[in-house]
Amino acid sequence: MTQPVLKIEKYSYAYPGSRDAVLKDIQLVINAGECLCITGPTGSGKSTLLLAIKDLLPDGRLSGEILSRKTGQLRGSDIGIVLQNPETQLLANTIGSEIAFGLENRCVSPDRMESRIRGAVSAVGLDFPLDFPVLKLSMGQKYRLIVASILAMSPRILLLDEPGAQLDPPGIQKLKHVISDLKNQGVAVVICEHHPGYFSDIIDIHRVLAEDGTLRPAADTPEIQPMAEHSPPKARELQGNPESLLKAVNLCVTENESLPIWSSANFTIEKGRRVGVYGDNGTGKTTLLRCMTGNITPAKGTISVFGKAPSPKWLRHKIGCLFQNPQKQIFENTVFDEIAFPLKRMGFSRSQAEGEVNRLLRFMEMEHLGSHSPHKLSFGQKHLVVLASALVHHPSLLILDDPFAGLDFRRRKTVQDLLMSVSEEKNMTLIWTGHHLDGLQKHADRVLEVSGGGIASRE
Amino acid sequence: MKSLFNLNRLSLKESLFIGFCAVFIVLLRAGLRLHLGIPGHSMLFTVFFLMLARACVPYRFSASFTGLIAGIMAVVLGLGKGGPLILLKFLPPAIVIDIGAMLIPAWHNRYLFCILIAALAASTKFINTYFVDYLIGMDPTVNLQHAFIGSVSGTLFGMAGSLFVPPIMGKLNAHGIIGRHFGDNPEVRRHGEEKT
Repeated sequence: MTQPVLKIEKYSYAYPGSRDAVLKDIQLVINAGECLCITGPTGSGKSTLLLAIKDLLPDGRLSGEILSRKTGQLRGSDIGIVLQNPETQLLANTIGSEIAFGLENRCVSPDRMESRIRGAVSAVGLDFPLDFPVLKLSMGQKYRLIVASILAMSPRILLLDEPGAQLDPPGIQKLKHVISDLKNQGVAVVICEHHPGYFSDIIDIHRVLAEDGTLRPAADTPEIQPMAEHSPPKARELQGNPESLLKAVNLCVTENESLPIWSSANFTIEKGRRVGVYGDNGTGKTTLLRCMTGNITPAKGTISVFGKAPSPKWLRHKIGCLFQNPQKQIFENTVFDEIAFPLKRMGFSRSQAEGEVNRLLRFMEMEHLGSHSPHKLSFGQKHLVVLASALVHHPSLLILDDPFAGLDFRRRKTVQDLLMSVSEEKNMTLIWTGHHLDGLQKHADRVLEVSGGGIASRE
Repeated sequence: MKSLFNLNRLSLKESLFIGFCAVFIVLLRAGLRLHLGIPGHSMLFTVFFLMLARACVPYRFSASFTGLIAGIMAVVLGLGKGGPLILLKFLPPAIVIDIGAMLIPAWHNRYLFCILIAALAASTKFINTYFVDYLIGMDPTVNLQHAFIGSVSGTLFGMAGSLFVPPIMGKLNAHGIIGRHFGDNPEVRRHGEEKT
C-alpha cells in the first residue's frame, strides 16, 4: 500500500485582518508518486493552499492541521514550491548560483553540486551556460530556472503554481517528462493550473477549489487541450483607408551590442488593427513590445509609433500597457485608485473617474474589491486590475504582455469580450503577446511570429 | 503573571525596526546639523520616527523603547552638551506618543489624531528646556520665555513630522508589510502553535 506523504485535515485559513476564510475545511491525502491537480476560479485560494502546505502563510486565523508536517514526517526542505511569479523567488545573479543556493544551504559538497545543477538545467531545457545572468532571462525561462533549482534539491513533494501560464508548449512537454520521472521516483506533485488539459496524461487526482474556499472533487477529468492550433488569422476590413500607427523597418535589437535577439523585422500596423505576437519563451516577444514603447533603442533599423520614434514621454496618454508581471505596475493603496490613476493624471476628479472605474470593476467582476489593496490580490486579479487601469482612459494603442496569465476560462472570456468590444467601439489598436495560440488568436487581424531570430508576419 | 513589559511579544523584526527608528533619529540629528537658527526643528524627525515606531510595532511601549535607545545612543555619542539629560529630549515625547496611542485606537490612519498626539508629544520640549536652563541658573523669566519659544517651535515641527505618518502607514498596510493583529486578537494562531 502506498504511503501518504501529505495529509491535510479540516484545514481552514483566513489572512490576518480578514474575516472571511480563504480555505475552508480542506481535506486532502496525497500518496507518494501521485500527481494532484487543483483548478479553480481566479482568486479562489489555490496559491494560498500551496503556501499553506509549504508553511509560508502569514500568521492568521487557522484551524485544522497539515498532519505530515506536524508529525515530523516532512521537513520544510522536503517540500519544493515554484510560485506563479518566478521573480519573487530569484535570489542569485547567475543560473548556476541560483540553483546552487539551495544545495549550499543543505551543505551539499561542491564536487557533487555541479552534476546535480547540470542535471536539473538539462531536465527543464534551459540551454544556457551556468554563468548566464538571471536578469536576461525571460519570464518563462525564469520559471524553468526556479523549477530546476527546486529539482536540484530533490524534494519529496513538488508544488507548482500555474506552470501553464508561464511555459511555452516545449517547456510544458519537458515539465511533463520531469513530473513523470519524479512520480516514478515516489515524489508527490501538486499542480495548481487553470488549464489542467496541458497535464491531463500525468494527473492522478483532480480537485476544484471553489470560490467559497472548499476543495471538491472535479466533475470530470480534464481533457487534453491542443497546445498549438495554427488557424490563420482573419483580417477584418477596416473602415476607410486606415492610417499607419506603427511602422518597423529593418528593425534589429541586440543583446550585448553584438548578438541579435531578432533582426530584419518589417511590419506595419494600421490604426484599429488587432495583432497577436506569438513565440516560445525567450524568443524576444517582450523585447519587441519594449521596443514599441521606446524603452529599448533598436540597434539597427527604425520604428515609429504615431509618426515619431517612440519614447515613454511621447506616448504618454496615447497608449495603455500591461506588463507580464503586473506587480511591477501596481503602486496605489486601493484597487479603485489603481484603476483611476491614468484619469487622475489626465486631470479628472475622483467623481468624474468613478463612473468609468466602476463600470470596469463590474465588468471584471471585482466590484467587491474596490477598496482592497491591489498588492494583496492573486496574480490573476492583479492582471485584471492592471488591465482595467490600462483601458480606463481609452488609449489609441493597447499593448498587453501575456494578458491571460493567471486567468481562469470564464475570466479569459470576459477579458476577451471586453477587449474586442472596446477595440471595435473606440477603434483601438490592440497588440498582445502569448506563447500558446489561444482564444484571442482567432480575433487577430495579423499574427507576428517571433522565432529563430526573426519576426514573420502572417495575415 | 505577565511582566509589565512582556518583551516576548516583540518579534525579532519588530525589535530590529525599533532599533532602526532609534538609529535614524540619532543619525538625522547628528548628520543634519542644520544651523537654521530656528529652535526645535529636530522635533520634525524625532516625532516622525517615534510615531512610526509606535504605529508599525503594535507593542504598547514601542515609542518609549525607541526614545530610550535613541537617548542612550545620543548620550554615548556625546550628542549635545547635556550629558545624561539628553535623555529628556527623547523619552518624554516618546512616552506621550505611547499614551496617546493607547487612548486613541487607529490613530495612525487619521491626520487629526496624528497632529494632536504630535503636538502633545513635542510640547514636552518645554519641560526639558526649562529644567536644563534652571539647572544652569537662568533667570526664571528668561527661562520661561526661552522654554516657551522652544516648545512652540518644536510643537510646530513635531506636528509637521506627524503628517508623514498616515500616508506611509497607508502604503505599508497596502503592501501587507504591517498589519499583524498582535496580541489583541485571541483567534490569531501562528503556524506551528498548538491549539489552546
